[in-house]
Amino acid sequence: MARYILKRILLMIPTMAMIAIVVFGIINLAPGNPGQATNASGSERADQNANSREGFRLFKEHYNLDKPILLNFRYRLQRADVEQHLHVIASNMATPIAGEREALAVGATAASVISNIANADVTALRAELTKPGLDAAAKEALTDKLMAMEVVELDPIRPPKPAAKEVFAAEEEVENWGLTIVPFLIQIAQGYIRLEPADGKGEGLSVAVSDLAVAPDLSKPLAPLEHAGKRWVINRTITEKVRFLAVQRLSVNARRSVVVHDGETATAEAKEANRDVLTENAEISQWTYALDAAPADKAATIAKWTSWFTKAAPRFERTPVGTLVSVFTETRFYKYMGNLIVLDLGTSTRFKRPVWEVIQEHWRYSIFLSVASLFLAYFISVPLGVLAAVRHNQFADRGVGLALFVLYSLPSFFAATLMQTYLTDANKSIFSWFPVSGFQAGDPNMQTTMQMLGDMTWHMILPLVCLTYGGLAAISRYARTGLLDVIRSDYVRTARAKGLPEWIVIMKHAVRNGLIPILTLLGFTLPALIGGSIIIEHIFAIDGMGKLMITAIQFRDYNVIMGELLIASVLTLLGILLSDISYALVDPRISLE
Amino acid sequence: MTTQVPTTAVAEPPSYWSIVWGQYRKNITGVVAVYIILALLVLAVVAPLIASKVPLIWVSESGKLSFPLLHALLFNRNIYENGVDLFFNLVLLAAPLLWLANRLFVRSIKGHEVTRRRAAETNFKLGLSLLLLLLFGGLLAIDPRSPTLDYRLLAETSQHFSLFPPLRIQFDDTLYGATGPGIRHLLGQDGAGRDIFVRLLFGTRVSLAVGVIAVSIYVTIGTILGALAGFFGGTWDLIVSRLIELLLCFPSFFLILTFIGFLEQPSIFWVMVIIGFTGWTGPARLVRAEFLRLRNLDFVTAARAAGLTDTRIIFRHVLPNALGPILVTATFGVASSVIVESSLSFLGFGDPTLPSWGRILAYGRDTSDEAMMLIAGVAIFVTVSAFNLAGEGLRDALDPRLRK
Repeated sequence: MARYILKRILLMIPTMAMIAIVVFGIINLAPGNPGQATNASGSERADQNANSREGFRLFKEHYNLDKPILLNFRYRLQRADVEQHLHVIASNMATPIAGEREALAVGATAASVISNIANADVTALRAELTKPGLDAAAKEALTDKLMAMEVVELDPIRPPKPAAKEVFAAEEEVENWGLTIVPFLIQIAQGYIRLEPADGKGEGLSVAVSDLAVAPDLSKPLAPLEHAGKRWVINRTITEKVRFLAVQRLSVNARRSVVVHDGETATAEAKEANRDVLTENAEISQWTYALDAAPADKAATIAKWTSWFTKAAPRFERTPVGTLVSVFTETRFYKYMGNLIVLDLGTSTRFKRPVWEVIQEHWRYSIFLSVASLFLAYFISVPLGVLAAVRHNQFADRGVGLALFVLYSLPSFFAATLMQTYLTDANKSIFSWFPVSGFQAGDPNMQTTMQMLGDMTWHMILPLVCLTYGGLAAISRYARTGLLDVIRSDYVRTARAKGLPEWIVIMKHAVRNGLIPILTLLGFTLPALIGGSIIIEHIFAIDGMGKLMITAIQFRDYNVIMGELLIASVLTLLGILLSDISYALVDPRISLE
Repeated sequence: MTTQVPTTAVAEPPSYWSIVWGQYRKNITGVVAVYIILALLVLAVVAPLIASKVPLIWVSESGKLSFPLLHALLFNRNIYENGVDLFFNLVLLAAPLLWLANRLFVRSIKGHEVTRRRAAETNFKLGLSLLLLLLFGGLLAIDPRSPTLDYRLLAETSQHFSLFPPLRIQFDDTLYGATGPGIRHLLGQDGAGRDIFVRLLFGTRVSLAVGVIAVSIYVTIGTILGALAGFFGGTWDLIVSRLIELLLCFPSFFLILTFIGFLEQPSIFWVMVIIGFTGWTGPARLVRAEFLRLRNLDFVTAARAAGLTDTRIIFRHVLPNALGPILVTATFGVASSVIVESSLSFLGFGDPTLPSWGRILAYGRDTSDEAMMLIAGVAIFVTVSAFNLAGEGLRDALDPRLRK
């Protein structure tokens, strides 16, 4: 017996690991990746308040969604990759910058410069529209043009253009690359130049200042220049924007994460290190400039970054072994499993506290509800099942069967709503016997134990009834069948033959053996109860895991959602384990084979 | 005098399913349940003929005859924008056509030798039906007008003939301020001015669609996996059994809510797909057990000895024998899917554009409108009971020990 139990417990460990892997899979493969959900369209993104954006960043950071799933090959990234991504973002930036018209004048042949301007010209079009003396056709054409521009900006329902999607993907990717690309970002901020072919034919080119023969002075209008055997115009708009983006990215990407999250267990050195990291993060997050800032300000900011980088450079050097290790360890899977082992489920964006703590606060209500309802269900349905079996095919059997069947078909949320309407003081009806909602009314610290228990029971009667009645049919049917099998067996007949009173035959001989099978139902009933308590908690406003789950979904608190799923399934697993063990204890014939 | 040789009619043995139906018919509650389900299905299909803001027949000012509802059923996205509605509308349009086709061809051909005359007759009928089809298509296309045209307003002022469905109301109408029950609004209106009866009527479509489609998804998955595990055993069995054990650890409503939490815009199709992909463990366990039992029986050995391929054995010999229990779980499954869908919309996680019963119930609860709450709840209860009773009856009918 001990061997069986031990084996069963050991078998639980791989199952738990598999549960963790499934939850990991859901995070990564769920329909509507949370990453895409938050940047569905441009205006939606603009509307996002800082809180939810920060929440999403926290979620991404905790589940390491910024990292590759299984293997990390980011050591292969080149500066050109970063430049290309920043260029994509820059060419869709609508913000007009000072001197854009001059930039246009300098390189008037470069088609891309003109297309950059188009978005910014809504005001000009409007002005043109109000001019007197326009004929109807021209007016209509202008209105169409204007509407096309504004609709793209204002209409959040319309799916983003492919170009916009590309931009978001680029932004996302640059954000995800994080610390890896900081050296490249520094280089780009210091001397990125965008060249467009002077004759307007062919693709533009991204270069560094050091690649050019003569370093151009961007503060003055520029003549076309020679590079790599071709004549080029400097696209100043893009150049400025890419540099601006590089600095902006630096202020986010260069932030380091703290060493230890948990304030209680951290050592003094760790706290010190955390403080250093946080002060540095706070400092560098300020080192940005506006797109239309004065050139001197820009230069000053970039100088700050340069001096920071000369100090921080050793952080970004990698040994071959370090690179190899990072291929495996800088991944979502490795980090996720590592966090789970220390029970780190991340931070709730709503409560601004660790998810593990939040769940611990809520689970006692749910566990109480489930366990109490489980006992209640067995307590009621087993006698009913016995009655039905003893009165097989008689009125009592049929009646019990019908009543339980009706209850089985009655959705619990409907019953709960009805009870809340008619049996509580919500409507001041004559049957207002129970409280409307909540777990207890008084302050438990001010009550005696008996008062507290009474208060709790009074509050819990309706939720427990709603949670319990649906499961009665299955359990009592199982009990009935199990008992019917036994009642026809020889040893029961023997017991009757030797003249025992009927109730002793049933109670002492039949019931004991006939009810063993209902223990197997325990494993199925528990998940149903844990799942079913969600809606009951919602209706009766009990602050358990179910209510937490619902609010977490409403607030898009992803860490809590995933943590809840994990904890709920582990609780279920424990319940199934308990039912298996109790079954083995009661029935010695059971073995793992 | 001719003596007729008495033809000894060799009575064909009744087929398995006709025996099952014979057994089923003896169960009165089960038969009632089937009638309720059929009634719900018919209501779901003909809902636009009962309530619509677009007329069935419309004569314009110039005297031109048109059928705006027929057109709107499939082509007006302002009125029927959802896939569920389009599906039922398609059934509404296709059902008479199919019936007609069945009357004209299938019955006339079946069981007769094809003679010259019969062929000519069939050709004539075929031509006639195609003509009818064309006419039908033509009805759809006539005078589609502006898709947002308000026919009701027009009908009040115009003197020309028009025939509306009995209720000139759309389920998302918020037109007239809230009133109680009456002739115009059978069950009254909710706080937002929507007609409760019409919303319930169209809610039938949502519940039935979710129930049936989600269950078909998970029965298909469960049957395939269970069949693989039960028939081939070994590695397949190991993988599928472990997968089932693993999924059993996840409380299904938590799992469903998690997926819902990751959706940007919960639509009815995602609800179906999510229920479908989380519910397959039940059918899979059942099919696996059935296959384990059946694969060692003599008829399978015989089939194998005859050199049939595994695919043929599975689909032609084993699966039909396991079909009964699958059908029973599917019927119970529809009931529980209806509950899951209404729970989700009760919590506010359903498709916000659809009139779901759970949503109506929640609205009644929030506005403490007891009548609305009761009606929506009873609708759910009746549907769920009907499917449960049908499942119960089917289970008893399939059980040879209970044959009467």
